[in-house]
This record gives sequence, structure tokens and C-alpha cells, in this order.
Amino acid sequence: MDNQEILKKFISEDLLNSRQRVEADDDLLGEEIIDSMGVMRLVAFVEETFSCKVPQSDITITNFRTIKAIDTYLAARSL
Amino acid sequence: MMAASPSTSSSTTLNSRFDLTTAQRLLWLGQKLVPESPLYNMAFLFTLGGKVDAGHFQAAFQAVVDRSDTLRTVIDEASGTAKQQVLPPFDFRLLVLDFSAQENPVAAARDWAEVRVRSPFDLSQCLFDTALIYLGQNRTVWYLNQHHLITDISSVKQLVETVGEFYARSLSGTLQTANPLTPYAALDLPTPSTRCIDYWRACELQPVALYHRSAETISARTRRVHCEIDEKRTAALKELSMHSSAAALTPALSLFNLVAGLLFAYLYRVSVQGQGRQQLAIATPAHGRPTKALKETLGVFIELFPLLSEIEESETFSSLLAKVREASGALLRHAEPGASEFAPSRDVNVVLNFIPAQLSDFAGMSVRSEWIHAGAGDPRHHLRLQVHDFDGRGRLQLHFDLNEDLFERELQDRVPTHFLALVDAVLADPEQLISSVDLLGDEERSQLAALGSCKPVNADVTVVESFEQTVQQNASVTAVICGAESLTYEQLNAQVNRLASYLRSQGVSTEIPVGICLRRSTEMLIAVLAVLKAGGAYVPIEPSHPVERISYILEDMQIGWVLTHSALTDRLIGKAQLIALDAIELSHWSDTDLDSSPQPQNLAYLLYTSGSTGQPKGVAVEHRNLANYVQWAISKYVRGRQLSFPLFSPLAFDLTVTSIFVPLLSGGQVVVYPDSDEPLDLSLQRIVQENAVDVIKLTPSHLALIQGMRLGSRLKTLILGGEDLKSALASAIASSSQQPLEIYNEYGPTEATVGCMIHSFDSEDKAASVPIGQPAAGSEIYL
Repeated sequence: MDNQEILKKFISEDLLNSRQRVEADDDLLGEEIIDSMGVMRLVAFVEETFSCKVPQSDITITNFRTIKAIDTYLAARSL
Repeated sequence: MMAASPSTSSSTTLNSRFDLTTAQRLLWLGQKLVPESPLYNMAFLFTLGGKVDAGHFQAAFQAVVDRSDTLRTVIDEASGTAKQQVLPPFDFRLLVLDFSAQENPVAAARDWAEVRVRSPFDLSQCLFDTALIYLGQNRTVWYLNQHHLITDISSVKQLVETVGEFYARSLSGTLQTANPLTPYAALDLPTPSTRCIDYWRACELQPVALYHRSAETISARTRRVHCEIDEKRTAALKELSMHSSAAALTPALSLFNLVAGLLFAYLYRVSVQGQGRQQLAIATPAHGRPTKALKETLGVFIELFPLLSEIEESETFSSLLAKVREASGALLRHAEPGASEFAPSRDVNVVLNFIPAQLSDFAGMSVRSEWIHAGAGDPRHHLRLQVHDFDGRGRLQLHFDLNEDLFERELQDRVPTHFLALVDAVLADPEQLISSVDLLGDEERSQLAALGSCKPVNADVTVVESFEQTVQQNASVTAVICGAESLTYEQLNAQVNRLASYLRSQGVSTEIPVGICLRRSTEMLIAVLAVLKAGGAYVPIEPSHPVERISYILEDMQIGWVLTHSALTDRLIGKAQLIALDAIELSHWSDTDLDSSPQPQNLAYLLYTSGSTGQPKGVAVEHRNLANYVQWAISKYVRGRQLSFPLFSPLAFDLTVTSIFVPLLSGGQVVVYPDSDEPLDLSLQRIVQENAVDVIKLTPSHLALIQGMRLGSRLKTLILGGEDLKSALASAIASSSQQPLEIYNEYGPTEATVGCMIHSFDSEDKAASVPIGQPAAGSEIYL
């Protein structure tokens, strides 16, 4: 499973309890599909799953608006 | 709304007892501290946009009781530890009221709710109370009160929408097919991570002394002061939050940051401004519902976490908002369920409850909500600011819940003005300095201007007229006590009138200076009032002063008459005619009020102060200034009561003006403490020991004399004037009182008539300089 699929699965199943499906381009934040508390849950998941530290300053709209954006952010980190 | 849920209620029926969640445990402990207080009653009146059928409403609510364990949850303390106990489904009986025949049904419903909400719940019985109220003309209001132990604001929204959905199903006959609701009591919330626990354990903070008020123990009584931010400003705030340093992950978080920044700015301005860089803390709830399933669950999930920010003199709104954005991000990252008990939340005395939730509808009907305040709140919280737009009005609603013990009503009512001034300031220019924003509203500004410049309040009525009115209203009330003797207002006035008539006969008239050289006595009071009634200006002459100084005053003013005592006449050398009050017979003079009295612009008295050149310097005070001060002091200190003041200071001190005129123009009493022959005047110590007065006007030096003495039960107020007040001294005195004590610091030059400003001393200093003892419970120090 690629990163986007992993994130999609976590968000859809764990955060949204399968009540809603999310796609890679959905605006998670502007549409408030997940709220700020949900984002923090997501950050904790990302840190654990991808064995990385996400500094507070990286938790921005740019990095977390969509699943694609998070993937891009993670890719940039691993460079 | 209710998607198929994988959960079933089978597990909850097997075991009906569950541990309290952290959120519940903290609430339960708070309730235990004040068992009779309705502090956690969360009540609303929902006005529904249509006629609601009581039978279907009953069925809908019953369906929620049946399908969710939340409304059936009570607290079982039988085993010694509190547990959640889920009761088996029970028959719910809806209370239906009809206020449609009332003259004002809406007001009647609100009045009913405001009384109803003040009844505390029996935690072991049922944690909700609800009623349907008909107001006539297809108007229905729904009263819903739940104990916080089973609800929070998201849960309230969820419950309203679920009852609405079930109501619609009941109407359409599909209620039986509604899904069960997510169980609450059996939820197994994960324990918080050590990362979060350690983070909160390391957090250090201090409560903030709002308006310099602080107290160790205060009651749970609160008052809600409401205001709303209009549509234009609300929209502008939302816009600014997204395009400023407040901007964060989501629109809701951005607006939270902006509102929290405004609250920090407000706290700074009304507490610690001027003390350099300060760290401020507020507590704010994290909703505790990160997943969709939790968002749909009825129950309490919120937990309070501290939000900290530093703020300094050079802080702009912009720079503060950037700090708040960082702080709220850090808070959220560590706000795991259950982590709040590791945070030092009990040291936080200000709460920001920012509620982004909005009600949708009730079975297609519009819903308008009114949050009913129970008049109580957590006593640790001096201010709880609730910010919401629960009805989606497009106008932010601000509720300032203020502790009644700590803030007087007048101040409570000014709080929104102070806060809104900062709202306007940030909208006008986020780059401006927080410390330079003008917080005062027009009304308060004009009040302060009146104090600051001593503009007349009611200066057309002279103290002579006011005194005569007081006599009429209080003829048989005791006006003066001196040892075993006392005079009623009527008796006092009669003696004053006789002497005034006599003085008139001697030639005393408008603005003629008349010396008063008497020791403290009833006669001294009579002399002062008689000179004023005769139209003259009294000039205090202190018998203990050197003869040269007395002579200088007599010469300087060319004083024609001196009212004195035969024992003191040898100190009065000069041309003035001496009238020894113990030696003249006045009984044949008229005891009725004189037919003319002084005008506001006439001279009332002349005080000689020690001039900087060594020569005494005379200061003239007109009737309008005197009347203005006395009326103001009565409104500030007396407030409709009849209070006793001691006369214990020399007449030549301007503070004595307060001790004489404030009681005698408000139906109170003057208790005269005569001069003693001892080298040290111990009157003040006697006043404290005898416990016969309510108010003492004195100087800080006086205050030092009684430091360490136990203040009696009668004393209510100390008014300080004349010198710099050392805060440590005021604190020490406040702490030696057994009951709440008001301490006012009043100052102003003699020229400005006794006291122009009441000022505060700094309670931060107080904390630092009083190592033992704190102000007694409920003590207020007006700063």
C-alpha cells in the first residue's frame, strides 16, 4: 500500500469510522472533514507509521490540506 | 444521520457499572466541593419554529432514553468510589407546561427556566430534566437541562438533532426502525501517552489577578454578562482570523486563536500591564472527539487544558496572535483524552470556552437557543468567557460568567466594554500596540472624568440643604454619640440652629470666616454646622498648635470670631472675638432652620496646610466642591446604608470632612472620640477595640498604628487618604479582618476637596510582600 492509501485508510476508517470516504484531493481542512483535533491524531499516526518527527512548525495548511499534500510533505522530508 | 454502527448494546447490558472517565471524574470532584450548587447544570431553552406535538415528542425522547445509555447514566457512590451506573430503560414522563394564557408567555417561560435550573441534580437518580412549554400561536419552547457529567456542548447539539430526527420518525411511523445510538458508558478510551503526560506535568503557570482581585476562597456564585458582536464585526473577525498571524489549520481554529488572543490582551490590560513581560494562562476545553464516531456520541468528552502565552509591553495584536497560534497548536497536540488531569489546571482562573458548534434544525423546524445560566460556576474560575454562535445568527455571542464574590456588579457590567474595545482595536489595526488601546467606554470615561476633575455631581444642593433634608427624614435617628451622650438628628439640628441664629445676630454672614478652636466633641460638630448654616466659612484652628501659628492664621484671615471653649481661650491671642460655647446661653435662640442658606459658589471652609515656605498656607473650598465630594463619597461608600463613622482626627485635616459630612448627610452616625491628654493619641486603637463604627477614614500612617490588631466584626470599610498607601500595609490589614473588608485608597490634594480619585494598590505587590496571611475570605481590596 502506498502512502496515500495508508493515509486514506486511516482517515476513512479511524477518524471517520467508515461513515465517509475521502479521496486524495479532498480538502480535509477547509471543508472541516477532519478538525484540528483530528489533524493532531493524524500527525501522531504519521509519526508512528513513517517513523518520523513532525515538528509543530510543519503542521500547516499547506502540508495537511489534502492526502496528496501530506504525501508530498512526507516525500520532501525523506529526501 | 445515523449510519449503521458496528457497536451493539449487548456489552452494556451485561455490566451496568463503569469507571468515570477523566472528564467525568474532574467534574464529579468539582461538584463534590459544592454539593448544593447547580454549577454544572447545562440548561437551554430551545424555541422551535412550529407547534410541537407532545405525544410524538414524548415518544422521540423515550426513544433516545431507550437507545442511548447516556441519558440513563447516573453516579453510584455506594461502594465508596464513584462509578457510572447505567439504569435499565425506564418510562420517561415528559413535563408539559402551557404558558399561552400568561401575559408574556416568552418571559414566563424564561422565568420558569431560570428558577428550575437552580435545582441541583441528585447524582444517583437522574442527570437530566426536560419539559415542553407551549407559548400559544404555534410557538413551543423545549427546556433541556443536563448535568455536565453526561453532556457537553457537542452532546447538546447531538441530542437536539437526534430528538428532532426521532420526532420526525414518530410522525411518519418509522421510529421503531431507528438505529441504536453509540453507547457511552462502556467506551474504552485509550490512556494518554507518556509524551502528553510529561508535557502537561512540566507545565507551570500562575493565576491572573483580574482587575487586581484575588482571593483564596470564593463561592460558586457567578453572574452572566452577555453581549454580542454584530454581524459586520463577526464577519470581519472571521476574515481577519484567516488572514493574520492567527491563521491556523482550520477556520474554526483560526477564529479560536483570534478570540484567545483577544482574551489574553484583555487579561493583560486589566491585570498585569506595566509589570514587564508576563506569562498568562487561560484554560480552554479540547472537545475530545477526534473521530466521527465520538462526534456522534452523547456524553461528556471535553477536558480543560491550559493555554499559555507570554505578553510584553511592546506586544502588538499581530505578534501576540502568532504566539497564541503556536500555543494552541501545542495544546491540541497534547490534548489526548485523560491527559488533562496531569495539567496544572487548578491554578488557572480564567476559562475560554469557544464553541464552534452550530445547531442545525429540529425535524425541519428552525431552532433558536437560549443558554440558561444557573447563577453558579466553578469557584476556581474567576471569569469564564463563553463564545459561540450556536444558532448560526452570524453574530458571535459572548457570555462573561463572572464570580460574584470577586467583582461587584458595576464592574461586571463594564467587562464587555473593555473586551469590545480590544475587538475594535484589532479590527482597526492588528499591528498596533495592545498596551495603547483605549479600553474605556463613554460612560465609564465620563464617570472617571467626573472623578478626576471633580466635576459637580449634585453640587447645586449644598451640604446645609442636604443636612436639613436628612434631619427631616431621620428626626429620631441618633446622629452623634460622644461617650454616654447622644443626640438625635432633630436634637442636633435644633442646637445647630440656635448657634447659627446667634452667629447671624453677631454679624456672621456669607463667606465670613469663623474660627473653630475646639477639642473633638459634640460641640465641635455643632460649631461646624452652625457656621455653615449662618453662611460663614469655618476655619479649623488646632488647639495643640503653637500659639504663633494660631496667631498667624487669625491674622492672615482677619478672623472676626472664634468658636472655642473657656479652657482654650488663652491660646487665642489677637483681635478676634472669642465665643466660648460652654459659657454662652443659647436656649432662647430659635431652633428652626434659618430662612436663607449658602449658595454653591460660596466659601464653605478654609484649611491651613503646612506650606513649603514654612508659613501655613490657606486653601479655600467652596460649597459646590464640598457638596460634590460628599455626594460622591456617599454614593461610593455608603450605598443606601446608615453607617457609623468615628470622629477622631483633627478638624484641620481634610480627611475629617469625610468623617463628619458623609454620615450626617446620609442618616448615619458620628461617634466622637475626644482628644486625650496623653502624649500619644490612642483614639484609633480605641475605635478598633470598641467595634462601634462601620467605616473609618484615615491615613496610611494611622493604618500602621492599628496593624497587628484584630479588626472587629462591625468594621466594613477603610477609606485611606492623604498619603501614599503601601500595598503591603493594606494587605496586612485586610488579612486581620474576620470578614470581608473594603479598602479604598482615595487621593487628591486638599485643593481638590478631600479626595478626587479612588485608586488601587497593586495586588501583585501584595502577594510578594505578605509572606504570612492572606486577605480573609471574601475580602475585597478596591484598587
